[in-house]
Amino acid sequence: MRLQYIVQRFMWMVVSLIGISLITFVVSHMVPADPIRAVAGMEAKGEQVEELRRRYGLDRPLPEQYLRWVANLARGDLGLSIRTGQPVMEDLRRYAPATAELTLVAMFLVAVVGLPLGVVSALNKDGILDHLSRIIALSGVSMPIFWVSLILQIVFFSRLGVLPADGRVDVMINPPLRVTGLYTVDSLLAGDMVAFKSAARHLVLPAVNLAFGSLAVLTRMVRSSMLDVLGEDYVRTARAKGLRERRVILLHALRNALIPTTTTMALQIGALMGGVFLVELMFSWPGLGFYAMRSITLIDFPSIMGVAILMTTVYAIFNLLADLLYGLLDPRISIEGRSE
Amino acid sequence: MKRLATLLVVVAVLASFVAACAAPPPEVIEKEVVEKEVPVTVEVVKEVVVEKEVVETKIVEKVVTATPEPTPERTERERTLIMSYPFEPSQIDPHAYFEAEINMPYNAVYETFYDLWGPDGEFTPRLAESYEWSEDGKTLTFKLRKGVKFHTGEDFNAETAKWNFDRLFDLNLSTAGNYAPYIDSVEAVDDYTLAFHMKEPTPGYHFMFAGNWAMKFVCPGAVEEHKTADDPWAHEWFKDHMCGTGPYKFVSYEHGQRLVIEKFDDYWGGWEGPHFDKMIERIVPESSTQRMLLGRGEIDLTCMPLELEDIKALQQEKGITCKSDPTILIFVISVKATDAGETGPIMSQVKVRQALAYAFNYDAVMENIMGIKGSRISDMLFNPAFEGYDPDHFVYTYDLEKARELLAEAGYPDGGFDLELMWLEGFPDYPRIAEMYQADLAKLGITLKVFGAPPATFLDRIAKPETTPDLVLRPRASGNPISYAWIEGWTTKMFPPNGLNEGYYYNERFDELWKAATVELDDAKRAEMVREAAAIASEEVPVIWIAAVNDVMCFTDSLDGFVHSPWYMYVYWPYNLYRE
Repeated sequence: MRLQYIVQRFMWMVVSLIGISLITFVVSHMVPADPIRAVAGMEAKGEQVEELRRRYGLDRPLPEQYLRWVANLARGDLGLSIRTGQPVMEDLRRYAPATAELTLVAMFLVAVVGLPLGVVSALNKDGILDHLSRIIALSGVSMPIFWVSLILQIVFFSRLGVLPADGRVDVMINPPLRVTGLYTVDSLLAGDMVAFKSAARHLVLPAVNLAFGSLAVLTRMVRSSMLDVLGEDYVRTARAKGLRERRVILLHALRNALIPTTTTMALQIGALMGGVFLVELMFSWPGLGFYAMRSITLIDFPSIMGVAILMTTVYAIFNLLADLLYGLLDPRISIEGRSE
Repeated sequence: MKRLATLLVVVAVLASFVAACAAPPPEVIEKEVVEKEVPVTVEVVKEVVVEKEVVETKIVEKVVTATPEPTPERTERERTLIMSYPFEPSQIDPHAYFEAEINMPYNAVYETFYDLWGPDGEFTPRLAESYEWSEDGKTLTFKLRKGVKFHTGEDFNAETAKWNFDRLFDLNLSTAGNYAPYIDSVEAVDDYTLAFHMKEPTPGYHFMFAGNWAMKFVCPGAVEEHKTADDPWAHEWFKDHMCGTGPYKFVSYEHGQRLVIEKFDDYWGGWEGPHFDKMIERIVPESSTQRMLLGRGEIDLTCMPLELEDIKALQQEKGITCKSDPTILIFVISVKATDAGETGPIMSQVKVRQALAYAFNYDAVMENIMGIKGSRISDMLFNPAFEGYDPDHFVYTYDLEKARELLAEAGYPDGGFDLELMWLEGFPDYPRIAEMYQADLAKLGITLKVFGAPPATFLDRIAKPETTPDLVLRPRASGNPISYAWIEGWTTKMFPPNGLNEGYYYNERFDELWKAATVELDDAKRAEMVREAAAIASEEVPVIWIAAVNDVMCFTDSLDGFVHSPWYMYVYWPYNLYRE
């Protein structure tokens, strides 16, 4: 049944992707713009522009363009980027690992800091730690990303000089040989500790910046869930049985509090992927956001749609994983029941 | 036990990150380089003592304080120029499109027949040694320099130069537009003589082989190695690789991050004197980040103008200089001059367009917005290097009373109409210029709607006279001093989509003068024709001339050897730069 559920979810995911692609296609083509003319160069002559338009298939009727795009997508071909002239799939392969590395480290930070902070806040309700976490949470949700970026860069790079302000690796160091595209992983695989240290240092500020908003949301969510659970009968029963407090908190309370938290984490993937656009720009991080921003400026339809499809797919997969995790966290929740 | 193992793994991961994030040790890589280069040290010190005694004395003093060792070799960082650009180029094939975002590396890796130096456009030989026009003005012959090698090792000669033009014409992308319409055929007369047979007499066309947009020569060997059946000119490979004849050769390009070039040992110009061994272009989109990187010495040079606030802040910093040099780039407002569209009946009136020119506050824009980033320009032939330049030409000034009078004469004493101004996105000063103009036009009773548009939208809007905005604020540039080629921009030939006469300006006499100038071999007569055309444009205002844009490049004071030419954008000549 679980397999059937996964297949069913995948089918819905495909429907969502088609919907997203259609919306992106319609919206990007509704914008009064001529990307081919822009890419050909301001001084390009009329016939050169028309030749390029033919080359990209943009001289065809819109429905035909869309159907061709969908047919090509089924073969894993996202078309040619108007801006770079490269296959969009190739561009995504080039830029996506940087975003993946940054987002994964940000998620890691959100989880390892947000969870304990939420638990501690709940256990010290209205205490100093709780107030402190409230301040962090409020700051996280209220401060704009670009402003936090600037503050981090000014303090840790410009003033203290302890962390780099931009890029993925020191400019004088050759990036590691590409295996996964994640510099920290690739440098470890290559045994290049100089590159690893540089890549890790370059991750700190953008990852903290990206994690900040989600960290705030998660901390408050964990706190609230923990407070709910701590008042439940089964927690009182566990304590009455004489179980050690740590066991009560970690096994009985936190495990149950993790169910709504998992949903929040899955939803925060969307927030992280949205935030990554600005963070990448501020920290000169050559990822999908960096790529998409330039593509949007030139109304590069194929690239914009490629990025949208990729991000939607990642988001949908993480939500599916969250659904599957529910069953692990609470055996009472059955996939069968959910799918009915 | 399992829990303990998990804990250990988590601790190990965290520890590795914490260790990695600790303050960095002093450049490990530099240490390696110093060790490798030790045998050369004595030789270099000898050279330096003779040639740059004073400069090197400073360095010796510094080192002696730290260690009693003799003068050290310069570190890899010191021998490397790191520059920043805010954008990543879409592609870097010089036969495809011009990409200003890579102009320093372009001019380090590629070369042209001639260079243009100084405000007068001094035509200086580079890959060619001389040129000659035939009597009938239809054949232009270049004598090429001997001893020039491509980075692949093959000789640069008439055959490989001709092959480059074959590639350009066959790819038929934007850059070809400067040559294909004019050149009938290219002939390799002998090993070092290349002749261009023109379709018509084309006076002054030799300037097309110099300057920002001039033909650059790529390695035939690299094309041979990387071509495919579908891509016989290896355009795909050249989209993110470079290979030419210049002083620096391509090393690597990491998209969105950096482009690395290093010195080409067999460069025909030789390596006497101080030069950089390596150059790195970093892509840093944010102006504030570039400012911080320069402040901390992580970059040496910012190649495109930063925000005015960042320039001002950097000018206050010790050890950093911001230099302003004039360029060929100008800011203009194109004025709709056709009777098409809703506002056509208003905008097609010359007096209305003149009023609009008088309503622009030129001095306030210079003072409050452009600062050191620009200087005032006057009319169509604003550049003294242009043939036909007239120092006594008419110049519009800010005069609202005069504007009001002209509007009254045109039948709009109190304004009472709406116009729209579109600016081309990408220049942070445009919104402020537009708003200032909006406020001045409001004083005349004209409501100005202002908005920005990315290139794709801009080109779509100007595609038809009915949809083209009344006013378009954007950059323009002339890559060489050929006046008739410059004024061509306002002829009917350049109506979109064939060109960028987005105001759809048309004057029969103007078109005739331009056409006649293109084939007139007598310099004086040609200059007079262009001068007359410019006077017509001054009277009829197809353009409001705002400012010449300066290259404002900020750099660390340790840099020297700045050679700048107004005919190139965002470039200090890479070969001449060095660190003191």
